[in-house]
This record gives sequence, structure tokens and C-alpha cells, in this order.
Amino acid sequence: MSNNNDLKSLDLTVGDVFAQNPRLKARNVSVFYGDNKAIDNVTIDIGNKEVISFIGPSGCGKSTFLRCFNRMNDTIDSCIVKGKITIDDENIYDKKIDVVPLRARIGMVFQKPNPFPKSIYDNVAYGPRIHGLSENKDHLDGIVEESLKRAGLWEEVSDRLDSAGTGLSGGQQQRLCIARAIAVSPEVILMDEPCSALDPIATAKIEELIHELGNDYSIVIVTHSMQQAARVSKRTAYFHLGKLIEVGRTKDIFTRPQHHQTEAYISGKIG
Amino acid sequence: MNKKIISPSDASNIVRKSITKRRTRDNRLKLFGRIAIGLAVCFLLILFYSIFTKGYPGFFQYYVTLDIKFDRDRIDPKGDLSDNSLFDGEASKIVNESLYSIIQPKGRKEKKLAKKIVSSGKDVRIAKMVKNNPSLFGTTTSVKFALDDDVDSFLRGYIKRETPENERRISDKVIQFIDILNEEGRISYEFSDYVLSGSASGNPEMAGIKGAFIGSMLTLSVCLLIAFPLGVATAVYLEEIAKKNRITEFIEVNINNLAAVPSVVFGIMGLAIFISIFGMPRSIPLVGGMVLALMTLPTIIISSRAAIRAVPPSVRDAAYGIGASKIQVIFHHVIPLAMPGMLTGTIIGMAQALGETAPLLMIGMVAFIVDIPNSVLDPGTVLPVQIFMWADFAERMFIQKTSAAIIVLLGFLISMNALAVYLRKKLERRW
Amino acid sequence: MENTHISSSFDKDLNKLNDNLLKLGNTALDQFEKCINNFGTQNLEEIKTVINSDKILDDLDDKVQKYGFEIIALRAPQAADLRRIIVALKIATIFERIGDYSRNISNRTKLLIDLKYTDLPGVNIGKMGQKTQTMFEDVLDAYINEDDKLAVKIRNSDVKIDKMHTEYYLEIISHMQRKKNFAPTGAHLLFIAKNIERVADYITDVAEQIYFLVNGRVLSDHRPKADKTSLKIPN
Repeated sequence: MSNNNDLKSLDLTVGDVFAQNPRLKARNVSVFYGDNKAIDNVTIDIGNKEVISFIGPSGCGKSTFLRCFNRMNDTIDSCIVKGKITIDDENIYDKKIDVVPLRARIGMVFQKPNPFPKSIYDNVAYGPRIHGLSENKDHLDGIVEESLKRAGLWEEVSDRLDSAGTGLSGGQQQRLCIARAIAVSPEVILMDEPCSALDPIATAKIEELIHELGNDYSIVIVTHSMQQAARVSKRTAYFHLGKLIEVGRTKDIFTRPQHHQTEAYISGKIG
Repeated sequence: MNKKIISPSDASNIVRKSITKRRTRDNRLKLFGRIAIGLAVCFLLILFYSIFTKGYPGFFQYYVTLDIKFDRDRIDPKGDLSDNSLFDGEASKIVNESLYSIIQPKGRKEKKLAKKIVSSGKDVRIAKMVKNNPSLFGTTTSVKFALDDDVDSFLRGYIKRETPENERRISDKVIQFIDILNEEGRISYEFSDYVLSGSASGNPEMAGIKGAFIGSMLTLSVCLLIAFPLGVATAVYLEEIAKKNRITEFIEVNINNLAAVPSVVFGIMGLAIFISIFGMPRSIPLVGGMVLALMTLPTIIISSRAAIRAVPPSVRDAAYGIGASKIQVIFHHVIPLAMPGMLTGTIIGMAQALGETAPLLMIGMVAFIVDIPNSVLDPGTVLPVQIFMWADFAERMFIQKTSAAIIVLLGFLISMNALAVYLRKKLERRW
Repeated sequence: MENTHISSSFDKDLNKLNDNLLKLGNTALDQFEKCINNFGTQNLEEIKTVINSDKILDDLDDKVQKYGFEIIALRAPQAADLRRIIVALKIATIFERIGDYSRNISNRTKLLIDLKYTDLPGVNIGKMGQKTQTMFEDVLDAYINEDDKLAVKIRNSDVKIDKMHTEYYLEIISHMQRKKNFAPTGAHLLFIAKNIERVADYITDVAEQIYFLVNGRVLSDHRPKADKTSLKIPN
């Protein structure tokens, strides 16, 4: 791969890759698992305080790409990431960057709700504790309450903060995980298929929550349900076999997509 | 051959026809299983029954009640209740006098025989009593004394009257004396106060397991304090920190092999390295504990690794995702969740170590130790070794006490395993 | 609409669609009311205003079509929501067409002024227009309140407009037969009367859509029709 392929990826990607005042910039990112190329030369901006969704058929690499933003791929030995991803013009893959504070700035919510086997209070308080974000117990109590309120969970659990986090229903557990991510005051929240393990009502509630959170955080959602992307996000990016095919406003993608592959996927002609 | 899929109606016919054959096969298998279980349960019951019937009497022995005059001048000549004073005193003589007054032996020979009826620990008993309760001085109180082991065996019926005198361990005269005591109702069969509180002794009636018990506790403590932290740390290192390459595979294979090595080999190693090269003293719980630790380490490492592997990756993902460092993930999340498994493995390893005899024999914990060890540096012995030694002795009473000691050892093993099960249930967390 | 969705942005989108549709309907009603008044007052300035304002209706209709289309693409509405969207799209087109007719009537009124038309007895365009206007007001109420009973009443009252149209048609034809130079005036009058009758028919279409919106099925019994002008030759 030559060095001046900054724009080469744009030959393949249709639509508005760049954003005004972006929070995160990915430039020519490729990801390999051993010899297997999972993401091929992707360039995209994540805008400030916007909700953007990544859609595409299974195995197209959208989850892999998402995990590049908070370097979760570091935990997999065979995974190699090439290219640049910058936040505030700092490359997050630079050797000097400490991954621990990075993951406080860029939080993550996973597919299967995974609260710690601790109390509800301790779940939310864990992040602020290890990063030293609170000055005293009262301050920590305040952070926990505010995070649970923003996640729409406070009213349901305020009287039982000491009970186990794993004793909640699926939808509540996922909101607890969102509260946990919010508690460390991130700038970006990454969500990897956050509703795929939930029933339709719980899903609708989480989607409404994402809509509200979009006013304060930049949110990137990976979803295998394009209807969810249509409901929840302002911008949508379509991936296919590791390549970014099209990016644009969700309205436009779903009413008049520009690329024929996008059209085929959205109308259910390819899986 | 018409190789196509069978139609539904034909298929259900065929299935219906074959069902009786399948049922009979299933039932036959069930029957075999039940018979096997039944046999196993029978054997188990027989085993426990024989252990209990042999061992239960070991907890009891025969006592004789004598009236003792607690004469201060004679028992405590120096008057300060010191060991010296009591040693110089005439406690034994007082007891013998009381005995003679009942059975009335004639002549020196008979008196000599009579002296042997009561256990030789009589003066120790008196000494202990007056030390605990000085107000006994000046009174005449009934005291129970243990009987000599030959007398005890006779009373139990192992030494029979009918056997000719020259083939018996006790003479006719002694039997006469015993009959007199019995007629006066002075002989009783009681729960032995030696078995659990006495330590090793040449006299079977005074022998107890307390020394060996304390020795076992000290040795096991040393073993636990060395093996548990080392084992857990090794497991954490191998599972979480070390890169998966040829070297770690090599280590894993070796650890698995060590778990199968006969324990006596560890004893030889302890002898060669700790005692010969490092020059540590023999027969102390510290060295015993170190040898047992080496033996238990593979078990703890293997079960801890399994427990760590069982922690679901979603917990690790969540912790990394929130910005925890690798060390924080290990100590705040992985170890607490793996702890039930680690503890269970450790307790099972400890239970194994409790019953180990061969390696401890190799490092010399087989000596005859009368004093109860006070620290890990005092010479001592362990329960299984004590049992092993007692099994060697000829006196009949040792056989009973050996069985009693086996019951204690088994009881201990069962409770340790029960503790493992309880801990695992209590600490199990749903994730 | 009182029933709210878990997704508040869905409600927002639906309300936006509905507001624009009602704006379209009220503007079309306003245009119609003005054009009927202007027929009577023959105020040239007002007539020109109505003609020029027709573009507003076209723009509003485009907006409603766009919003409806987006809601279908992004929200996959079901049941009553789906009927609402489809009905809104249909009604918007109808209101826009009614607007076209109001413009048409205004254009012809201008020409009648040039031809110096004064009242022709027996042909009360104003009355026909006002009755149609009342139907229009009622149908907007029926839509806002989702009142299917009112919708059925409106549909049945179309008969009266039809009867009036037949009556006026015969009267105008007979006058044209008696006075040959009345023909141009008469032609415009006929068109104006026909346009008003078409508006009433469109309003009836809206009423039938409202019935479908509320009940989920088409109003089955036949619409009473009394417009015999296409069936008979006057003598």
C-alpha cells in the first residue's frame, strides 16, 4: 500500500465521509486477524454529538471496526491495526498514548448486558473510583445518582442500590451498563449491538435513551437491524466485506441510497 | 437399493415396532447401573461399619475408682506446687496404699503385681489435679485411674481366663485382684480422657493423638501458607499474563505431570535438598509443610487455572472497556470470581496433604515425640504417621486406639471436603 | 393525537406531518372561501391574490409528501399509524387539487367581470359555494376529531350539491338557447358550477378516507349520486 492513498479509499466510499467538527477521525484504517483482512482501508469521521450507526451483513467487519476506536482489539493477540485514528488530533495508536484513560474518554456498551457481579452502586461507582474522579463519598454518590438518572434507571433502583446488579431484568441491566459508561464522563460512547439480546419493549426504551444521550455524547452504534439504524441514528454507514461502501444522512440512505450495493442490502436483496 | 427418505407413515411404523427392543435395552442398562450402585453402597456401608465398630471402643477405656487421701505434706513436700516438689512427693505411694487397702496383697511379689494394675500415669494425674485445685489438700476424694493396658484387654475379653497361665499376659493372681475390685463395683468403662488429650506414649492406655493432631495442624498450616499464594500467583501468571508460546506449553505439561508423581518422591527431594543441602533440622513441621507444599502446588495450580478460565470474557471486556488496567482487571474482577474454584481446589489439596504419610516418613517425622510441639520448629509428627506407628505395636489396646485415630482422621477429611462444598455454594456468584 | 409512542422522535415526526397537512387543508379552505366571495363582490384585487397564492398549496403538498415518505422509510409504521400516513398523503393531494379548482374559478370570475356578467336568476353560485364551503369546514373537523359519523353525513350531503348543479346546468343551457350572445358567459358559468361540484366530490373523497382511517375498511355502500347531467340531453 503506497503512502498517498489518503483519497484512494474515497474512490470506493460513496457519500459524506467527513463531518463538520469531528470528534474522531479514522484515516485508511485496515484491520488484520493474522493473514485475514477484516477491514479494508476505511476512512470516516465521527461527528460531534451525533448518533451514527454502522450497518451491514454479518461478518462485514463493523464490530471489528468499532472496537478499533477504544483499542479493545488490543486484547486479541492476533489482531493488527494499521492506519490512523485520531481524537483531538492525537493518534490513539501512538506508542505514547496510555490506553487506560483513552477508554474512559471513549466508553463501550456490549451486546450482552454485562454488569459486574457487584451491587448496582458499585457497578456505577467502579469507573470513577479507579480513575480517581470523585473527591469524597458525597461526590461519588452524586455521580452515581446523576449517571443512573441519565440512563433512565434511577427511579426504578434508587431504593435498592445495594442489591446485585445481576438481579435486574435484561433491559435494566443494559441501562445499568450505559450508566456505568456515563459515570466516567466519556466524550464518545460506542455501542456494539446493544439491543440484540433484548425484547422489543426494552429495545424501544433503550432507543429512546440513545436519542436523549445523543444531545450530550457522540454515539456510534453497530446494529444488525437496519430498521433500528433507521429509527435511531442521524448518519448511517454501510459496510460490506470489510469495505465502507456508503455513508450519509439516514434519511437519504433509506429513501434514495446512492450505491447499488446499499440499495440491495436495504431492500433485502442481499443478506 | 432404493435409497430415499422414508415416508412419515412408514417411519412411524418402523419406530413403533422397534420401541420394545429399545425399551428392553434401556431397562437392562438401568438394572445394571442400579446393581452396580447397590454393590458400591454395600461395600461402602461395610467399610464404614467395620471402621466404626473397631474404632468406637477405642474412645473408651476401663477405669478403677480409688479413694485417695490428699495429704499435702506427702504429695507436695516443698509446699509450692512446683514440678520438682511434686516429683519428690509420694503420690504413687498414696495411690498404691489405697489400692492395697482394697485388694490386700500378701507379700512383696503380690504387691509388685498389684502395683502394675493401675496405669503408671497415676502420679501425673494426681499432680495435675492438685495443681488445678489446691483445695483438694486435706480431703479424701474418689479418683478414677486408668487401668493398665493388659488389665484393660482382659476386661474387654481379648485375654481369656481359659487360656493357660503361661500363655497369658496377666497372671491368675492379678485376675483375682481384678475380680475383687469388680465385686466392689470399682471398675467402670468410661470415655477415655487420654485418646484426644494425651500424646504419644509407650503405654497404650495413656497414648493419645493430641500431639500428632497439633503436629498435623502445624504442618498443614505451613503447607497452606506456602502453597496457596504461590499456586494462585502461578495460575494467574500463566493464564493472564504470560504469552501463549512453546515455553508456557512446556510449563503446563510439566505441572500436569508433577500432579501425578508419587508423593514419596517429594519426600526424597525434601530429604536431599531441605535437610542435606540447606541443613534444616529433621522432623519439624516446617520442613514437613514445605515438602507437602511442593506436593500440593500442582493440584492448586491446575484447579486455579480452570477457575480462572471459567471467568467469562464478558466480565473482562466490561472491565477493560471502562478503562481498568490489566492488574486491576485481574485483582478486582478475575480473582474474586475465580476464588470459589480456587478455594475448593486448595481445600481438596489440603485434604490430600492431611493424609500423606510417605513423604513425611522420608524427612523423619516418624520419631517418638512425647511433648506436644509448640511451634513449627519443634519436632513433631502427624496423624497418619502416628496411626502407622501404632499399627506396628503389639499391645491389643493400640489396635483399638489406632482405629479410633483413623476415625478422627476420616472425620477430619470429611469435614474438610464438606467445607469445600459449602464454600463453593456460598461463594458461587451468578453472572 | 393522544396515543404516544415510546420513541418521542416518532411522535414528533407524526405531529410535523399532521400540522403541515392541516395547514394545507385550512389554506385550501381559505382559498375556496375567498374565491366564492370574490364571485359575488367581483373584487379584482382579491381575485388576483387568490390566483397567486396557489403556489403555497403546492409547496405544502410537496412537504407533506416528503414527510410521509420519510416516515414510511424510517419508521415502518403499523396499523393505525400506517393508515394515518397513507390517508394523509391521499388527502394532501386532494386539498392541493381543490386549490387548483379555486384558482380556476377565480380565473373564470375575472373573465366574467370582463364580460360584464350580472346575476342570473335561478343560478345561485354563491349558495352552492357556501354549501360546499360548509362541507369543507365539516370535513376538516371530521379529520381532526377522527369522527367517522360526521364523515358519513358529509358524504351523504353531496347529493344536494349534485341536485343544485343539475338545476343550474339546465337553467344556464336554456338561457344560452334563448340568447345567442350569452354563450361565452354561459360557458364560464357552466365551468364554474362544474368546478364547485367537483370540489364537493373531492370533499366526499376526503370523507371516505376519514372513514377508512377510523375503521380500517372502505365505506362500502354506494355513494348516492344525483348528478344526471352526464346522463341526459336537455330538451
